[in-house]
Parts: sequence; structure tokens; C-alpha cells
Amino acid sequence: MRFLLVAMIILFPALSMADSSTGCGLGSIIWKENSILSALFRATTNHSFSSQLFGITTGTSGCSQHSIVKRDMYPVYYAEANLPELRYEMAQGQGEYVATFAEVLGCSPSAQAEFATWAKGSYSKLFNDANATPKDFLKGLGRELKQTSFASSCDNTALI
Amino acid sequence: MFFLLLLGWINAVRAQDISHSPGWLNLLHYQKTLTGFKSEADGKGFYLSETGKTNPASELKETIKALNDTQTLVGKLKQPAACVYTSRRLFLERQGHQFPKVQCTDYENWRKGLQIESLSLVFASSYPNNPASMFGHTFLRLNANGNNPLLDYAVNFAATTGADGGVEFAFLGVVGGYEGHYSLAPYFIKVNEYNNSEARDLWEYPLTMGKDAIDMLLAHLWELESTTYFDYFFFDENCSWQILRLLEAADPELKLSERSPFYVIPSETVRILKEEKILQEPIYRPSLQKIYLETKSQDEKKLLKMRIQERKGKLEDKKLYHELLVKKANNPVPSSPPNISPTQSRPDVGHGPRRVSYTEGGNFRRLSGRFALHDVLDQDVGHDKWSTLDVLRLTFEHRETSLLTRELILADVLSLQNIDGLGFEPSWFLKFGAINPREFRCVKCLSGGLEAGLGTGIKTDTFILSAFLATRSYGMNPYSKSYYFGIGPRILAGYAIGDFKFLLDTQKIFSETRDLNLSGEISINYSLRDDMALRLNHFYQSANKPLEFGASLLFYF
Repeated sequence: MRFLLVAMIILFPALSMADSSTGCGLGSIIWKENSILSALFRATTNHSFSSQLFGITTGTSGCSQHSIVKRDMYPVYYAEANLPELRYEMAQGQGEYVATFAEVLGCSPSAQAEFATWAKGSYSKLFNDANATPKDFLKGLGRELKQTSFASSCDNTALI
Repeated sequence: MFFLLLLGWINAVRAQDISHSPGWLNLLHYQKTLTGFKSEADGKGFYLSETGKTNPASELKETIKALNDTQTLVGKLKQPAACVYTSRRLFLERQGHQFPKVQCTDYENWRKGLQIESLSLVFASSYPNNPASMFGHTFLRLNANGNNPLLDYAVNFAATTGADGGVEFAFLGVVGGYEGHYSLAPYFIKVNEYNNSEARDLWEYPLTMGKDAIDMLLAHLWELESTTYFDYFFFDENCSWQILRLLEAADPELKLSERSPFYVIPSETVRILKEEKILQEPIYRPSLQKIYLETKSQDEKKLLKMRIQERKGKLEDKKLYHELLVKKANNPVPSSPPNISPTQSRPDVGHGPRRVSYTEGGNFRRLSGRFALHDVLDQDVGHDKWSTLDVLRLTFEHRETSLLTRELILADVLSLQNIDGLGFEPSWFLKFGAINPREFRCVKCLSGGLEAGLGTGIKTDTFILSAFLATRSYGMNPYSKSYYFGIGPRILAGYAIGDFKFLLDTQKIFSETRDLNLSGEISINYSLRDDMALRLNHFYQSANKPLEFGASLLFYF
């Protein structure tokens, strides 16, 4: 039985496109762009485990540098992983990704509701260039967010 | 003295008893064999006893010894056994054992970061045009008590393959050449990957598992990743199998893996958990591509198309996309997303993957069995619409006085794409195995063969029309001494209404030796119940060959 399946797969290379969520799964999505942010993350790497379970836990694998425990780096990580979704939903002024982003930024529930509407209104300032990188976006976001009335109730914006 | 002996004897009996309890056997991933037990875990660090892989009692004895030893450092993280064999410790403590207290900072921090309230099973549907994904994929989601599930964690079991890919990857995947590991990733990574990039729908089924089971599951994940791996096999010890085994380890009351004697197809995981009654109503997350297809507004469609391209890293006109988004942001009215009905493709409904059928044709009768999964005439509920993915199909035929093998198909795949403006994806089909080619007109001519073709067409839920350039190659040829090769057009037209499906399949094949005259097959499938269908099949060939007509009764399980 297994032999037949081997034969089938060799005959049919498309089969090899099985689930690709392997290895440094996050790495392949996020760290491809050689941004300053990702370099910053990599710089903290001193040793690595083979396992992604610990990588995420302790933030030392070089692949998945965010930490379950420490949430302070999370906005950066989140924005970089979800930029296409944020780009679209912020123009829409609503959506799951943008609501979740407000939570990641530590905004209080009332500020979370305001965040999406604000992002729509400030869209051209947040994304002022067609080729904006995650880094550009976060810089602009930090600058613009400071001028809002609800920013004070978002307590995880120190890094951006 | 006698009392001490008695106590020792009672302890020994108790240990023997625990070592063969489902709780212990599941945590150690033992499977019953003809002579005893064998564990599926392949990393050496998993076993504390020399004979641990096959001896549950000895492994239990050594585990108790190790948990009492706070000095020796073990596992990938070099920690005391109590911080490594976390689920065994929890299991034994629940059985009344007591061990010296050890500070497990790493483990406790990890657990603190995972304030998990509940679990969900997530099913990712097939990836259009990728046969390897046609069975789907399953993983678990650890749900924290938050409003935004995107921040929850997905527990995925996958092969750790490094950088290589292609045929080597597939080959090693089948023979178990890779290490299978569990990994955690934020759920948004999975949603981006499946929903937004790969056009796969997600089904999130909340599981009714209590706090004790969740604690055990997390302790067990930690233990597995601290000590071991599993050889990864695409087809048996695959993602779905390991998810079932993980849930069994978390709650030994569950009897999951024994429900599936061969191997587990991801959609079967869903069915098995449903039978065990731990599945709740699912939450459906349609893929971005599906949202695109259902969106009416042309402006919005254009934007969604570019959004998909950006997620795939294939967006060319970034400037235009940016301008359109700025315009959208300046429009105070947000677009309303389309309403997508989830009922048609739920993986827990519809027919089972295996099928047996009996066909009566007047001068012949056939008995056929299929291992998995779905063909183009089967009722589509719960499956990929208008698709065929049959793996291992064997048909016997009784004609006049002889009994013969009609076909042994290893794989039969039909993948139809709609021309939908999201980039051209071809439709294609492929069938190989031992086939009795029509053009030979000889009931006993069974030959190794391959039928394949490329084409394009229209596909909706109720209607298909596709044209292919088809090829047929067979290892033997009754008309000459060499092999047979033919090529020609093939047209498929189908219509589905309620429990009925109609299909017209017609083709003409040109060959050096013998043409297949214009021939066709008209079929009607009537789904009586989820597990039973009636099929009429009418084959004609324009040559002076009698028509063939068959009526079949099909059973799914």
C-alpha cells in the first residue's frame, strides 16, 4: 500500500505541495523582507531550539521571536505578520484584524471601538506611500496615534 | 515482616494496574500489537526504561524513580524529570502519587502564558487544484478567554522538513523520513495561510473538553516536545491521527483512534469526534477567494482581488491598489461583506469516504469498492463540489460464466476550475492503475495505464461544462506488440438539483492503432440518504457495439 502511494507521489509532484506549515513557519512569512525590524529581532538570538513550541515560549528560536509571556513586542510582530489584512481593513474602517490590532496595542474596550473608525479617517496618513513597509507603517502609526484622545488608554504602544 | 511483604505486593499490583490503564497507555502512545505493546514515539529521550518502547510496566517503574530524582537533568532543555515528563507527573499525581517539589520555571512560565479556557478543532478544506490537500487538514486551537480568536494559538502537527521540497519531500513524507513535531503558532498566521493565501475555508468546532483534559493536554505537549518526535507518515501517522492521539492522551475516556482501523482522513477526524459527541456547532470562516467570488460590487471585487494578490506576494500595481484603498477610506460607507451560506460544505455532514457498490447490467454484474473519498457523481454535501478524488478503487465483473477484475485504480482525480478572473487555473484530470480500456473492446484486456488531460470550463454549484485535451496511455495493446497511446477531446457537462446529479461525459480518441470512436456516458445519481445512493449509467459508442446499461446501488461508510 505504501509503495503504491510512493509511486503515486513520484508520478505527481503537485502532491508534494502538502501542508507547508513546517520548519520556521513564521520565518518564511515574516522574515523574508529584510527589514530593520526583523534584523532587530534576530539580533536577540543567542541559541536556538529545534522546536517551535519552545521557540514561541522563550522567544529564542530566531523564527518566532514573539513571546507568549511578554506582550511588549507583540504589536510589532502582529503588524508585520498582518500588514495586507490591516491595510485593507483600515480602509474599510472595520474588521477582525483591525479590532484585534487594537487589543494587541493594549487599548481599552472603548478605545478599541474608536480605533477602527480613527484608522479609516487617518488612512492616508498611516499609509502615505504605496510601498510602505511594516516599519514605515508602525512609525507613522506611533506618530499619529499620539495625537488622538484615546491613545492614553492604549497601554502597549511604547515600542512603536 | 509479612505486613511489609503484603504492602510491597499490593504496590506492585497497583503499579501493574496503572501501567495498563488507558490513561498511562495513551500518554506513552502505546499501540496494541499481537504480542503486547509498542509506542509510536520515536525519540529516544522519551523512554526512561531501556525496554520502554514496548514495556509499559517497566516504563512506569522508571518514571516513578525519575520523578523522585530532583538532581539528574534530562530532556532537550536539561531539566529535572519533573519539569520534562510533565504529563506523566500530572497523571501519577492524580492517581495519588506524591513526588518531591521541583521549581519548573520554564514550564510554569509557558503555562502562565497559555491561559486556555477551551479547545477547538479546526478543519481546513482542500486547496483548489492541489491534490495533496484534497483530504483537508486538521489542527487544534487553544482558546484563551478573549474576544479576538486571532490571538489564540493553533497546535499543528507537521513534518519538520528543513529547506528541501519537491519530490524528495513527498517521498520522505510517505516513508516516514521526517520528524513530525507539534508546533504552536498564533491563529492569525493560520488564517492568513489557509483563508487568505490558499483559498481554503476553515471550520472551527468547539470541543466540550473540561479543564482537567486541557491541563493534561498542555502538560503532554510540553513533555512530547521536550523529549521526542514522531516519524511522519503522510498517510497513517499523519496530522489527523496525531490530533486524535493527543486528545486521547488528554482524556483517556475518549475512544477515538480505534474507530479508524486504517488511517485517518482529516474529514474523518471531524466525523469521529462528532460520533464521540464532543463536537459543538462549528464557526465557518470562508476563504478570501470565496468572499471575492460572492461579492457583487465590481469596485469591491477589484479591491479584493488585489488584496489576495498582496497576501500572496504577487501584487504588481501597488500604486493603483494604494489609490483605490485611499478612495475606499474616504468613502464613509463601508462595503458590506456578502452572506455566505456554510451548510453545503461542512466536513461533518454528507457521505462517508469509503464506498461499496453493486451494479446490475443484464448480461453482467459488478461489485466495486472504494477506499476514499468522493467522485464527481457522489452527492456534494460536505465535499469539494464537482470533484473526484478516488484512492484505491477495485471492481470485479461477472460476465457470462467468467469472473474477472474490471479495474484496480490507484488514483482517480478530477479537478475542475471556474474561469473566475482570479488568474487562470486549468482544470485537469488524472487516472492511473490497471484499467480495461474501452477502445480494446475486450473484456479480459486489463492493462496498466494512465489517462490524463488538461482543460478549462465553467463551474458553479449546480452546473459544470468543461472541455479537455485528453490522453490515454496503456502498457499493452491488443492490436500491436507495443504500448497504446491515444489523444483527443473530452467534454464533461453536469447538472445538480436537489438529490440528483446528471453527468454527460463524452470523448473521441485518435490513435495510430485503433481509434476510440465518439463515445459517451450518461449517468444519473440519486442520493437516497447520506449513506446510500442509486446510480444509472448508460454507455454508448458510435460503432456497431451494443449499448451498455447498468443500475447500481451504492453504500457509503
